[in-house]
Amino acid sequence: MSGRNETVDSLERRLKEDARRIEAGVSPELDERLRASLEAAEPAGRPAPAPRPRWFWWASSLTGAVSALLVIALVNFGSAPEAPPAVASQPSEPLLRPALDVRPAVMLVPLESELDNLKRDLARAEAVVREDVDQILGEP
Amino acid sequence: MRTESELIEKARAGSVPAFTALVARYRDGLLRFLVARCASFADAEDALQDTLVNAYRYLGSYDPAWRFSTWLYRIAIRNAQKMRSDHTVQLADLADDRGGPLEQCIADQAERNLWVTARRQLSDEVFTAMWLRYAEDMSIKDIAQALERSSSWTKVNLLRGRRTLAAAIGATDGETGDVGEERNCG
Repeated sequence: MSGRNETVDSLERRLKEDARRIEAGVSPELDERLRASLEAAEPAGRPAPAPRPRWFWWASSLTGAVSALLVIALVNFGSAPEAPPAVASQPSEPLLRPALDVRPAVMLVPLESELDNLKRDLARAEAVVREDVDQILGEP
Repeated sequence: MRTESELIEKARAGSVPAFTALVARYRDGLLRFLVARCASFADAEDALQDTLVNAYRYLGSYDPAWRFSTWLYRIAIRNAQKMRSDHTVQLADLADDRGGPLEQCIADQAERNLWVTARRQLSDEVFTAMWLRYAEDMSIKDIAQALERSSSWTKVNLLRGRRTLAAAIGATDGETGDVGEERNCG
């Protein structure tokens, strides 16, 4: 176990040492090239703006409320309101009077004759009933 | 001496000198990393230039919850990958390349440098994880962030990387190949 760990430690140590043996540094030419390319580069996007202070929202709300009140005041009090039209208490006369030729319908004659017919029917029925009663009661 | 956060604020406001001062301490490390990752020294220099210009351009999107160095390395990794895909050079193609930029930057006994072995034996991602861990002393969390991988993936692949390297050393030096079997990288 300890032998294995020693081997691991040895491998890790050797990897670190060997990494240090790789000699690669930025040359003055490369440095100049990097500087020039950075000077020519434009940031793709600016950082997000800082959050707005709390008073900003209060000021926005207050401005909105004042604006709404101002509009309401202008609409309602800016000019003298016209008097509302008087509401007629009585039914008004019709504006147009059509020329009608009105004649009374003659409805009484048929009804009177019908009444007479009904009276006659009733009289006949009464006579028939009297005959039947007389026959029934008159027989011994 | 300004702090890193002060330099970041000034650089975000468009100050190139502040940005230059901000990245001054990381430039050499980034170049070493890119030399180890890229197919040529010129590619490594181009990748470094792209990395710094991109970092400057997009500094507004930098999240202070990250270490600045982790953020820089993440950009550098992307640029190294882009450089590799632009040149369509595969790691396998470089396996027999004895004169790569990494070897050129090692003064003596380049063939015995473990990073040359790592470069040949490991995939790009595992090599990068190993580099960030042992050359840059980054934490597992920062490595995972830089590679856009999980911490578990990072731990497992660091272990595999160590095993592969140990096996490679064993093949050449006669050492055993089960290095790190019971060691947690976290």
